[in-house]
Amino acid sequence: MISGSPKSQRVEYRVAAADSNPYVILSAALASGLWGIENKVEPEPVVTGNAYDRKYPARLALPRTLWESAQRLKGSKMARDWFGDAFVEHFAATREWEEREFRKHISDWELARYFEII
Amino acid sequence: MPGGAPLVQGVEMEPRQVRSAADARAIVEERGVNYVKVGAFDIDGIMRGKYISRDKFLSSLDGGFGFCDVVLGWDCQDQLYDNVQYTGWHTGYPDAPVRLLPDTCRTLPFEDNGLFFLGEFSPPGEAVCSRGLLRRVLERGRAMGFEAYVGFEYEFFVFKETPESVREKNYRGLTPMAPGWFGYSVIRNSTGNAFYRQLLDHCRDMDMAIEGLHEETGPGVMEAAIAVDKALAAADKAALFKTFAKVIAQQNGFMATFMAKCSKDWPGQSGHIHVSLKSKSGDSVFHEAGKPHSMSDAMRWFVGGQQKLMPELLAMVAPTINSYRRLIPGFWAPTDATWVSRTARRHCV
Repeated sequence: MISGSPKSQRVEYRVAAADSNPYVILSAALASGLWGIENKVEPEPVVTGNAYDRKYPARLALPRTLWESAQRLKGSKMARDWFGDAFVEHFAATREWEEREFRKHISDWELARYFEII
Repeated sequence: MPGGAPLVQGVEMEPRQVRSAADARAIVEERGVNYVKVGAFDIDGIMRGKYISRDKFLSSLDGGFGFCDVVLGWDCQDQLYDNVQYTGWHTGYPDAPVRLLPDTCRTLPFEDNGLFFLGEFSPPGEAVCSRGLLRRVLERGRAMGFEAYVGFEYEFFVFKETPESVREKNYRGLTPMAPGWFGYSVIRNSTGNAFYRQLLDHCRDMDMAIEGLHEETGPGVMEAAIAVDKALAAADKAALFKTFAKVIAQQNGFMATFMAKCSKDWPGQSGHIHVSLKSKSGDSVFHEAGKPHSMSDAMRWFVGGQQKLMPELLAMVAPTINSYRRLIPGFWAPTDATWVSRTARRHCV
């Protein structure tokens, strides 16, 4: 969050990368915040210093792959409530497809690493 | 600017003044354009569009027009999904009705100021239309008494390449727009001035004005902050920016990429979002003097909700295979749903 005057006080959503769909990511950023207001959700203690040096509770760990993220989305009651079953099912399926397409591909790294030695 | 009879008031209508279907009809007739460019964003935020004739456009203003719904049924490489319910061979890819949005009318400065309109998928496509999704979220927020204001900022790499040359090189060993680590360099933004200026000017002309533009650290990395607006308009600007920044770059002999991480040697590319809420009376919902970090209860809960749900909504935030290459420790991007406090450095709503 960024503190300032009534005009400049705001939340900066820093997990966001440039590759996201602006409508989809903003839906997630806003709906999760509004859900927090609705349910009076207290944040975890604020982080000071280098966030990478700390250990955090497992519940805050982000999924490591797109496949895992898609499974978490499908299982999210909040997502189904705010975004609708049709959107959640469709979006999760398109992410699963993306990962399936990726798994078809044999990378240069794999070839160089395993081709001869393994 | 293409000619045409002035409006009754004697003032030529500007694209950003268009509010209604009647206005859209008037500007198209007034400018005497033969074709209008229309577009809608797919699930990945890629704009799919076409030119339609003036007559077709005018008849579509009330009832909408049909767009083959395969644009909702294929991926970013036009490969057909085999696992979605919405459309597929089981439905035969019929036309999806698209509603034209008169108030998104924009000029296309690189097409002799031709006219452009955004559309949005109507039912049944509306359920999986990303713009429709945001609209529904905002309506629910409004029912809670909040209006969201948003500013997007993007980092992107720019290479001295063409769509052909990047393929010939297999996307390796590309020539950056300029070499070396030149964060905030005025040498870079003065030398490469033509592209900078065109990006600034065209974005202003298309009402997705850039508030700040600079050379980021890393070879050929730029960062653009798009001015704050109401949430839906801000998302339109962001999505249009990603599309047309690529166009403007290509017209200057460059290629811009918005991948999350295009090289293991360079930082990933963020798309930070600045969000604030106002009440119906226009007051800041987030600011409360005297509280820690001047943070109101509502703001604290907002952050609490974002933090708690980030792991389960991450697919919507990090939607590509490549997104997860950026979410590794030590590269300016998070690996856990944490939050920090800092002081405003940029004026925002």
